Amino acid sequence: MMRVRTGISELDQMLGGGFMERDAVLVAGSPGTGKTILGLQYLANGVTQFGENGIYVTFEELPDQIYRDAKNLGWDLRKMEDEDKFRLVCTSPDLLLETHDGEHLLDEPMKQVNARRIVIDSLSHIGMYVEEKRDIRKEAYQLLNYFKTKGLSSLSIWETPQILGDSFSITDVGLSFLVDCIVLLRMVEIESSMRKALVVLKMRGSDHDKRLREFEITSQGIKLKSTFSEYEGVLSGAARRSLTDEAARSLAKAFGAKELEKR
Amino acid sequence: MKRLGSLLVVLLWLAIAGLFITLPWRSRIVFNDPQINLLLSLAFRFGMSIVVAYIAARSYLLSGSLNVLFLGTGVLAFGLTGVAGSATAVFGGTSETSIAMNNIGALLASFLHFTGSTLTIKGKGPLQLKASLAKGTMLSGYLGILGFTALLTSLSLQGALPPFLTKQGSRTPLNLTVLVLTVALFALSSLVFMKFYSKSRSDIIYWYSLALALLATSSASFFLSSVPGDLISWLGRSATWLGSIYLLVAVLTAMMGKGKAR
Amino acid sequence: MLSDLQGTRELPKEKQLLDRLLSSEVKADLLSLFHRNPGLIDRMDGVARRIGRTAAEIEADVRDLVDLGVLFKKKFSKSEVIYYDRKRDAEIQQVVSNLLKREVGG
Repeated sequence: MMRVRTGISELDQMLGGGFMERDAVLVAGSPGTGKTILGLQYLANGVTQFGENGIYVTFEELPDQIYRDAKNLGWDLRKMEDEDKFRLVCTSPDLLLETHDGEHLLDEPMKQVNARRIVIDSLSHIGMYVEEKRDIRKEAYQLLNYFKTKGLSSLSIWETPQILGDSFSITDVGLSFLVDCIVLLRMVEIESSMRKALVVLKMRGSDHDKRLREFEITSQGIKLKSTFSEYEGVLSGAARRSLTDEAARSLAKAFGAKELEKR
Repeated sequence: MKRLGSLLVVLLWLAIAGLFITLPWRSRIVFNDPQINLLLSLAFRFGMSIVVAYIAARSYLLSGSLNVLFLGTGVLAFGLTGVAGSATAVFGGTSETSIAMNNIGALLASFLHFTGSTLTIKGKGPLQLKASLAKGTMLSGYLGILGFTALLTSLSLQGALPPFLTKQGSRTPLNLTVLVLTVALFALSSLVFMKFYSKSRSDIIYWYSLALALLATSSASFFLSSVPGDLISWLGRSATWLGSIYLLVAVLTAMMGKGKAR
Repeated sequence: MLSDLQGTRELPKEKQLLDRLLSSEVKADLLSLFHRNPGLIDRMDGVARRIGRTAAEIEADVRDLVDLGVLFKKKFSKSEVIYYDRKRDAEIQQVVSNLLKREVGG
């Protein structure tokens, strides 16, 4: 089966080569974890590295900030739009859920750029426009299905409210069962500093790296770093070094050694 | 806890000294069962050495500090040769092969510990290798000890080692020389670490230095014993077990993060 | 289909075009909003909210811009949405640019 690469090499390795084609991917995380950047990077790399054009759907009031933020990371979205390789669609969530005589709001943009990828930022906004919680799942299902029938590999962003702590739900509306892949972004506190962690929680039909990896947002986008192998309980909010690692560090310090730079 | 640890060491010294003084009495009771020796070796010497060597290896990979590597290989040598020596007495060898292997292994361990201790006490700080070299060096060291143990076992089973016991069962000059060197090196290492402890006040160093003192004590008791298996040699074995426990205490202290240098 | 609505309207004369494009602050805000966010597709009230106004305040100007061919309206399910035509925008910009060059030049 074809893989849809993100262009972030370590993430693609974690995914066994990339997302599965036409899969519905959910990127969940609390504010500030880099979900939007991941979505933009997925699309920008699709255009520049893999020849796969894309659409970014946002419900922001003034999305021109997205153009500015992307430019700062080296992605000229306006240029991509001029070349008909990319579209940034800004609309209201309820319009996205409607159809008219079989036509969908995104049909035209899809045709204009011959889109293969799409990012929805964010699926959480749908909750504002449905009356019952269970309707969110129904609406999301229809939307994700629509993307699959159009041959798109979708990446939907979901805001989780909890920044830290040991209790978190990816979604409280059952979306985790609908999607094919879930990537979780988390802020974690380690030794009094906030660090960012990424883990692939689920990937239907493919093996994937189940380890938690640290990542950072650089001037070129998201870069994955090493795993948190020396820590336990990272996601619980109370990260601590493993006993053997603690022992090794203490032994080194006791005998007057300093730690080597991290590889 | 530290006072109790020191007290036990002193009591052991007193017991050995007391037994040595009562010359005729100590030789009357002799007990030497190779299988029991093997079990005790496995439980104490081998078990302890694997745990400590593993932590030392992790510590070395983190720091690249050679003194830690020497300590790890020293502990591994002590444990592997001890259990291999005890095993040869059960499976095809004699008590002499067991004694030879134990003593040679202890000498190697004492040498490695002495080297590690001198590197630690060096005023400028321990030698550190680059991260890229650390893994290869660690593997070389530990595999080297494994290879040495295998070679020693092979030579002793073939009867290729020089004699360590006379026909009457007492220790040969070679045996005694090995023991004296071992005692000296372990004792010096212990003193060096005690001096280091006086500056660092690290509990890990405290327990480690006591453990080395006990290993010196055990070799000394074998030197003083008339025949293997007499009371003094059993006290020496007790010193080995207690030393193994103290090494484990040092590691446990490190695990709890309480033993850092102040 | 939406593309069916991108028709063949002729542009008004250049000066009248410029006058009509810049005849109000609301039109200027709308042009600026859609120029910066060409992918904006929303109802009248959604567009109005983004420039800090109400639907009633912008209705007339939106109608004018639709007439000029810069914006398009389309019935979509229960709503009527406003689109932006990039190609028509580029054409109008070129016309305005040519006009201004001529005015300045001489």
